[in-house]
Amino acid sequence: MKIVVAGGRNKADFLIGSLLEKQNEVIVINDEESYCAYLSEKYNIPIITGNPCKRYILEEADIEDADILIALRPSDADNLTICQYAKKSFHVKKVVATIANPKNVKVFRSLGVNTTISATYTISKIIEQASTIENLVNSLTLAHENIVMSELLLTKDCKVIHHKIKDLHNMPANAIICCILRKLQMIVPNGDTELLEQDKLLILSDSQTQDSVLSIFSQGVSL
Amino acid sequence: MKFIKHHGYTSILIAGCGRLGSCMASSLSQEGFDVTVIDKDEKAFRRLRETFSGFQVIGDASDLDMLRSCGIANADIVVVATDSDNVNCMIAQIANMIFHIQQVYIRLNDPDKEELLKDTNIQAIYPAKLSMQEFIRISHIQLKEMYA
Repeated sequence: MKIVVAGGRNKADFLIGSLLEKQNEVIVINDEESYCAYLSEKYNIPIITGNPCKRYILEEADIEDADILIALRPSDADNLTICQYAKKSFHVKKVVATIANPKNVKVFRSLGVNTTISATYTISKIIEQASTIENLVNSLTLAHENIVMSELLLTKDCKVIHHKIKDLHNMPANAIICCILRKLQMIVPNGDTELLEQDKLLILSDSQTQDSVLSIFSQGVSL
Repeated sequence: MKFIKHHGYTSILIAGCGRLGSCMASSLSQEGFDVTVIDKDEKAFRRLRETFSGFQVIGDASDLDMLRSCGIANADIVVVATDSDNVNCMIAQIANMIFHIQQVYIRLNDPDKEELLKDTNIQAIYPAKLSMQEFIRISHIQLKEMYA
């Protein structure tokens, strides 16, 4: 695949190495001359010295029809510009941007840059979920955060224990218990399945209803 | 010119209080418009005239919450004139595509950036282009092709 890496320092170096290892064709654009000199000594690939936010630099780098462009500059606005040029003017198939301000994840999505990586955003989501729900073991967001897979452990304080699934009347319509893990055994539940202590539940729901789903299985909440 | 008057006044949000932003803010405020100007540097507001009667907000105009707290949702006109073209493009697109402001004006130093605004109705002002036109006017030199 033809992959363009625009901006970045240590991240770029590491990324270039690992992309080349997987036999990709890599093009680097960086506006720091000394860093470009370092990279060109280390790798035998095209390295363009210049600001990737400029159209003529992207043109010079010949990024037309690249498979992926990765924008690693510290400024979110710079990365947005690079990604939009890549998509609108150079027909790059997929663009990826790193983001400093976590609020910009949604901004970028609205403006056509679908794949964004924000360390702060990702970590804060994990911390938020880990700290609010005691028996939430793991949580995975899918389909642009519209769907959530929650992994829950039932402890002895959970009021749902010894109840059948069909008796969980508070269960929202857009949620399903897709799997129960009981002592390493996987069970696909039906309405008559009884929930036991130490059961691990995998629940699929849309993200709006995740909170109400979790509240049903939280400790001490009655049915 | 298309002014939308909601409650008898037109609300204008200006991002960046540099030479252009401050002139616009001062002039439009004097004219009776309801002006809010944002800049991340407090010293920038010194450029405003004494007659300026609008709001001055210190903050990052490319931050979504900052724009919200400045009332962008109710703005009729947004003018973007910070010192970075990339930041300007980002703010203008947020105003136009997320907050659906129909009248967005942007100052761009690099004419190549016009491509990024293709599918929007953001209108750009290019200082280099305007200067070239003025040069042609005062020098009486006719150019067949103008590269700006």
